[in-house]
Formats: sequence, C-alpha cells, structure tokens
Amino acid sequence: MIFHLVYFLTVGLAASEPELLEKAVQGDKEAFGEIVRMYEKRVFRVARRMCNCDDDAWDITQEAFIKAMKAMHNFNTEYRFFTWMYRIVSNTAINLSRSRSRRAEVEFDEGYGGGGQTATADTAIQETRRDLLVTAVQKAVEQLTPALRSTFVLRVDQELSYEEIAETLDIATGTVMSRLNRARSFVKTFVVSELGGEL
Amino acid sequence: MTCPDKSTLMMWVDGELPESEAKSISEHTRYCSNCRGFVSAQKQMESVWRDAWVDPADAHFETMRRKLKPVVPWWRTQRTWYIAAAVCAVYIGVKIFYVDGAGKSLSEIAAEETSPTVRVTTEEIPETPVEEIIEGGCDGLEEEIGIPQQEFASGQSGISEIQEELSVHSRLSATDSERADEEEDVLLEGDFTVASPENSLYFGVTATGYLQDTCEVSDLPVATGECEETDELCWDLGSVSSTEPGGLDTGAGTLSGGVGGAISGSAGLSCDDLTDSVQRVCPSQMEATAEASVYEGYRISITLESKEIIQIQRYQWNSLFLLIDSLRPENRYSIGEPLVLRISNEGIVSGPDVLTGTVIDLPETGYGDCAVTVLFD
Repeated sequence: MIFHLVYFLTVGLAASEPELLEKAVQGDKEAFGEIVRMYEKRVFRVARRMCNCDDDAWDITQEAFIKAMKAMHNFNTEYRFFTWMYRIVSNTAINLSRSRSRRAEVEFDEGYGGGGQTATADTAIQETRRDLLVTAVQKAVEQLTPALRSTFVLRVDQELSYEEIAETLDIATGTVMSRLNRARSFVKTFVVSELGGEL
Repeated sequence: MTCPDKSTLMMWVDGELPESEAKSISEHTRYCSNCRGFVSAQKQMESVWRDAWVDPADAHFETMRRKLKPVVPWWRTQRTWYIAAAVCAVYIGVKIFYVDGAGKSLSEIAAEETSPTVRVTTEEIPETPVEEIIEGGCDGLEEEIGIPQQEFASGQSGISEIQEELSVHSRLSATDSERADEEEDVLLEGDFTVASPENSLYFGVTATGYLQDTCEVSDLPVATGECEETDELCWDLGSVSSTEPGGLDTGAGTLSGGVGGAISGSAGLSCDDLTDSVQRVCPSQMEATAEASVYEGYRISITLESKEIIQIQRYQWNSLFLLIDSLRPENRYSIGEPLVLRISNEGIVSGPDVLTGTVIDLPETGYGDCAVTVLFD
C-alpha cells in the first residue's frame, strides 16, 4: 500500500491509462499493477459470467492477467486495451470450459450478483421473482456454448457494441449478430421454461 | 408496417440500427403491443440479470493481486538495490563535500593521501520470472534431461523434414477455410478431431453444429455421415479418424446448411497414448496447450504453454509443429509467451526459433476459427 502511494507520488502521479499502458509495454511492472487495479473488477465479472463457479472465475482472472503481463510487450497501444484484455479473458474461459466436463448439476452461486439488498415486506414478492429470474438467466447463460456465451456476456452484461465484440472475439460483425440472436433465443426459451411459462 | 423480426428488434434495442430504420421501428413499437411486449420482456430479463451483479469484496482482489506478484525476497529485488545504491551515493556525496572537523574536505584529504579510492558498485539482480513462481518453470528440466536450455532454442536438426510436411497442413487449413467460406449458409461450431491409429496425436473434426435445415458431412478422411439431431438447436456431427500416423491428412470436410459459419477444432495428446519411455520422462505435471485461430483475413493466433519438457515420437512432433508453423509471423498474435513449449525427441530439440523460421503462407481467403489444444493429463 505504501509503495503504491509512493509510486503514484513519484512516478505515476495522475498517470493516465495510455501512459500506464506505455510504461507497462516497456516492462514497468508497477504500471501493469495499476492497470490490473483498473480492470480487475471488470475482468472478474466477465470471467464469472462466463464460467460456472467463483473458483473458476478467480482462476480465469488470475490466468488472464498473467497472460496479459507476459504478452504486454506485444500490445499495440494504438488499440483498445479492454478489447485485448476481454479477448484474453474470453479465450481463457473458453479453454477452461473446453477442458472440463460440464457439471451435471449447476447451481448458481449467489455470493456475487445476488443483490444483497434487504427486501421490504412490500417488495418481497417482487424481489423473490426477480431473484428467480436472475437465477434462471444465469443458468441459461451457463448452458450456452462458450462461443455464444462470450458474445452474450460481452453484449448484455458488458454492453459492448457489436463492433467492439467483433474486435474482441476476432469475428465478423455478422457472426456477432447471429450468435447473439441464438444466445438470446436460447436464454429466453430456457427462462420461460424455468419460470413456468411466464416472463 | 409489418412487424420487424425479433433480431431486428433487438438490434434496435442495442442501438445498432441505422438512424432511419431505428426511427421507423420506434414508430412501430408505439402502436404495436406485440413488439412492445417482446422488447420490454427482453430488456427486463437482461437488465435484471445485469443489474443483479455485486462485485466481490476488495479483499478477494487483494489476494489475487498478491498471487500475481512474483514472490521475490526483498534483498533480491532491483528496487532494493537501487535504493541501496542511492543511499550509498548520497552518503558518499555528503562525505566528499562536507568539510570535516579539521577544516578539510574529504576530497582535500584524498588529494593528500596516496590511496583514497572510494568505489560504489551496484549489482542488478533480475527478478524471478513469474512463470517460475506460478508454474514451477523449466529449471528442473534442465537437470532432468541434461541439456542446457539454450540448446532448445537453437537446435536445428530435423527441421527440413518438418518443413516439408508443413505444406500438407497448410493445404488442409486452406481447404477447411475455403469450404467454410464458400458455404455461406454454414453455421457450425465444433471440434475437429482426427485421431491417429498410433494413438498419439489427434486433430481433426468433431463438429457440433447449429443447423437450421439440413446438413451434409462429406470428404472427411474416413467417415462420411449425416447430421444427427440431438436437440432443437444442436446437431452433433460426430467425429472421424485418420488412418495416417500423425494425422496429417485430416480436417478437410464439407459442412453445409443453416446460416452463418464458424469452425473450430482441437487436437490433443494424452499420456495414455504416449510410449513408456515418454511417460517416464513426463511426470504428472506435464501440460501443454496450443491454440491456433484462423479468422477472416487469415490472422492467426497461437499460444503454447508447457510446464515440462516432454519427449514424444517423431511423427507427433512433426504434426504438432504443423499446427504451429503454419503461421505468418507478422500475423501472429499471442496472448501468452510466443512459445514456451519445448519438446525433445532423439536429439531433436527445438524452441521458438524453429517456429519463426519456417512459415507457410496461407491463402487470402478464409472464414471461421480453429483452436488446437494439446493436453497431457
């Protein structure tokens, strides 16, 4: 903590993201550490959305940052870092997904994403229904193929544009659209089924 | 105006439609309760899921960041030595220019004395590589196999043979991609698996597709089959095997039907398939992964990682590097080290030099992506 303070006061005072990226590309590990701080929550969120449990998400997040750190010298600072980083996370998550047999029973861990707000008596029913809906969507997302899941997560959760998703996943925009349609169609069908025919 | 299809409606929701089209759909949804209801339900479902997210506590991220940092003793860090050097320099500077009690500076005293040499030296000690901390690195392997690691990067024997066979793979890649490109109606995602009867390296096709109407599988090395519907969305095209050791004549097939197109594949090795001698060389920590992606315009990505040096049969070696070497270096995009996999076999030792030195151009057409995984369980 003290070192970070000293680092910011001496070297990285008010360093912008582009400056940090430049330094990180040059091998400055402290600058990379700051980048990790900037992106860790988003990276974890994408990872968690793309896998089935928290432990996997942490592994993916850590591995993604390690890969990024190793490859940082290859990063072209003219490009957007987050698409580069998202690509690493997506690939890491997809690889993990491929290398493991799918769990027969998937339970959504509500430790993160569960809301955590206290429901009042007036809103209890709505809250319950909302929780059911969230759980159903999460289950549906977990059943998507890795390719569809990554597209769905980047659009619906991260709200990236189709162009950004295409850049991140290195696919054509048309492919983004077709994957997104299929993913949404599957999710909706699944959720309607889970909730007993109503949405 | 007739109701737009659902995908168009969702593009409108996503803000991806041209302004004029977006305006007409906006007008339409004002009076069309069906479309309005569809959009509303979809938006609600997605926003509820998105907004329900709660970040983990910061302590979790702290823990992760600690794991990212190499565990380097403080006395081994560059920073420590820089600071030590700086302190010494300041101290000496003060001593030199500060006047002593007798009214003479150290520099004056130095001029009077015969050997007043003061020398400050610093030693730059490199930090421990991250992979050494996290994965154990390859240091132990050097002892195990008895070959200095530099030789792995510069070994050249056997390369010409690899080069010859590279073109075979290149053609296969082109065939896959061209066919996929021609078949604009293809919408496929799946693994390519073509197994060698020698049970060593396999790579080829195990395709799982999403086909709306009909599909055909033909020209595969061994099997020709039809789609088998497994559920409403998914068609399992099964897998095929090559009869060639090393699986070189693999992966070319036609998959048609449906809409859109993407093909992915995988290849692998397992310790069960390796010979006894290999297994002795390879401890349980063996793990290597490789990815290669062919995208529109033929940009390719690849990552290889290995915890150990492994020993495999010659044809396995060649086949593996067919996958790796069909890359144009200017198009290489790596999300990890360009290559950390090292494989030895009967004196054939190699590393990144081999890969970057032999590159086969790929055609300028293509579509889809391909992933290769090599696992040693």
